[in-house]
Amino acid sequence: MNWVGLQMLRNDRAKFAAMIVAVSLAVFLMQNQAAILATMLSMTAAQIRDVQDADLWVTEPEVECFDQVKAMRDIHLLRVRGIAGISWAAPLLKIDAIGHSEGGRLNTVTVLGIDDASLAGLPHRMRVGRADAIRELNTAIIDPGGHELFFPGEPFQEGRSLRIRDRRIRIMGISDIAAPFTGLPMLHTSRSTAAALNLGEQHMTSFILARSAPGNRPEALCQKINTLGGLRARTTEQFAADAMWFYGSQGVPMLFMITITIGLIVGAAITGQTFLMFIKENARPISMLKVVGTTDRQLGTMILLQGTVVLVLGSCFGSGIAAAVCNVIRTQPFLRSLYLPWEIALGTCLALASVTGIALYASYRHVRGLEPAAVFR
Amino acid sequence: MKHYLLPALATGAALFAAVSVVRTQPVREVTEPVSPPPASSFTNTVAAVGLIEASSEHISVGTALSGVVTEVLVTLNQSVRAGTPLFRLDTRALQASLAMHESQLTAARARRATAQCQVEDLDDRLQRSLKLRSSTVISEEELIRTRFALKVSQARVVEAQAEVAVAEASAAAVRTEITRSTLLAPIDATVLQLKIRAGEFATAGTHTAPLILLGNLNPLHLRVDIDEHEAWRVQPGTRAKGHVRGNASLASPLSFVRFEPFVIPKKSLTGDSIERVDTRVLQAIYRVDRTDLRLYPGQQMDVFIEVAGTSTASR
Repeated sequence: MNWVGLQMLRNDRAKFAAMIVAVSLAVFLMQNQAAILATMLSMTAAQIRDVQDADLWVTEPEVECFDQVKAMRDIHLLRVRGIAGISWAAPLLKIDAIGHSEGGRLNTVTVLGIDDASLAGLPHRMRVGRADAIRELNTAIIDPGGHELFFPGEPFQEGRSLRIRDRRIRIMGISDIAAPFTGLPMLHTSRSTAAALNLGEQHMTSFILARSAPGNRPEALCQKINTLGGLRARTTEQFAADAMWFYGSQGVPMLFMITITIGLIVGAAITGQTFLMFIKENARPISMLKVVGTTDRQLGTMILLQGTVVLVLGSCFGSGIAAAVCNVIRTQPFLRSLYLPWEIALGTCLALASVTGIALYASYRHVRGLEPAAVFR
Repeated sequence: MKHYLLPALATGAALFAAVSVVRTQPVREVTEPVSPPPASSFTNTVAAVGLIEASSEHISVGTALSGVVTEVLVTLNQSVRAGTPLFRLDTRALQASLAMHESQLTAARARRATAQCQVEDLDDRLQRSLKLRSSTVISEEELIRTRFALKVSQARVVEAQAEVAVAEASAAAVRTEITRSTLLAPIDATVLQLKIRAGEFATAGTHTAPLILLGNLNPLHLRVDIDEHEAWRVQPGTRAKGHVRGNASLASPLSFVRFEPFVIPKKSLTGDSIERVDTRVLQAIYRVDRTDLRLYPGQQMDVFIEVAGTSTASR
């Protein structure tokens, strides 16, 4: 019986192909847009999550995201260190400056000053070179996007440098960190070098990174620090969520949500409509089946199978296309962080399936309403 | 075969999608910092930063006289005993002045001798006049004149003696200056900085950069800045530990020495000429108990001081 249903699909090639293409494109569109949205949001929190050494971030109370920087008092670091349950705490300095390459290119850069003593917060994944080379004075490592901006199309070369605030900063390697939301080159350097670049401004600490001692819940430690007053502590994920919410509530995600919804509606509409047409055009053979005694229940299963085949095939192809496009886009240094959360990959397919389900139900109702006599029409 | 082409393609596409979705998920693994930051070994602790210094504190040797340095007698890192000469200033002008004063002394002594001879001469004349007076050979007037002349010459002797004393004192003063032109170590110490070289001019007074910096490095002390908000928690005599910057696994137990009773504004030690006043700090002096660590005065250490009971959060 079900085999008959599959043959029915296979033999109506035009509609079968149209349905698969519709599902594929809808899945591709939704996954692609959702990937871009998810990536954009995760980029706003990327610099927070990239600090893998720490699980606690302590900031001034007003700070909502990584790009809001407020100078912290040095003594706060010691106060955090003195809290029972904190394993260690280290300062992180973030400043913005203009960088000039030897080739004459200039761009605003984000400079991260890593604690000289411990190098806590330094990227552990590198594309080229060693991260701890920044122990040397006036050296830094740059992110792939930054390298592309200053030295477009050129491979990494040792001994290259950027001029920042009239200092020569030697580039010791390329880090493999996530792309930042701002698109600015990210330079990791020692805190002393970063402070020297920031001379004249009384700003030595932007964030305090801390790690909870084994047996202490980071959330509980945050509570403890928050009751001190004048400080705000968050776990890495809380701070990342705050950053994503800060940018996410600014409207751009709404635009993406609209595109995703349109993809869902268009995809489901085309698939549903084509499927309905396919069932209606096959009304005669279906009523023939009824003549030979097939029950409505069996016919319903057949329709469900046909719909599932179309949805599964379409989803597979759509996801494949989306993955291929994603892989191509990821080769761009600025878009290297593009990814599709697996929840969204499955979710888009399920969303499309549930909306198309309405069309399947309509088809089933149509089939149920068919009289065996329709075979003679 | 043809029946399975589409499902096979779809499966391939789905596998490709699954693999690339999994592969591109951002990875976040928990890592350890390159060199582990200092961590407290006490349950309840006050964290602070300390500056290593000599137990004698740092002595910026000053000179009372200004002058060109002719000779530096110590080298960097040399241990000196109290009284060891450190450097000499040019004393040629003083030597010349001494020679002059000594000649003046000789002259004054000669004048004193002359005056004394004069006294003897007049005394002798007076004695003889007294004898002659009885035989009325000389007049009363002459006798009186002789007597006064003797008194005058006696006064001259006193004057000449005073002049000798003045000349002696002047020569001694110049000699003192010459002695002061050689600077001596005030205590047993090590030369920590040597910023004066032969031929350079050393000015008297205080210096921002010391000419010679001395300090007793045995033992080393640690000047620990404790945030005024945390100062109440710290008790004298509790255990404390200092961690070496750059390698927190190197640590030394610290023994409490004293509190500096006056709370001062904290320096942020950026090396900037305009340092920010952050907060006020209580300074505690601790002794560094381990001697095998390579520690240098002026270096910073991360310090954890054990405190009793409640932490700041449960105030």
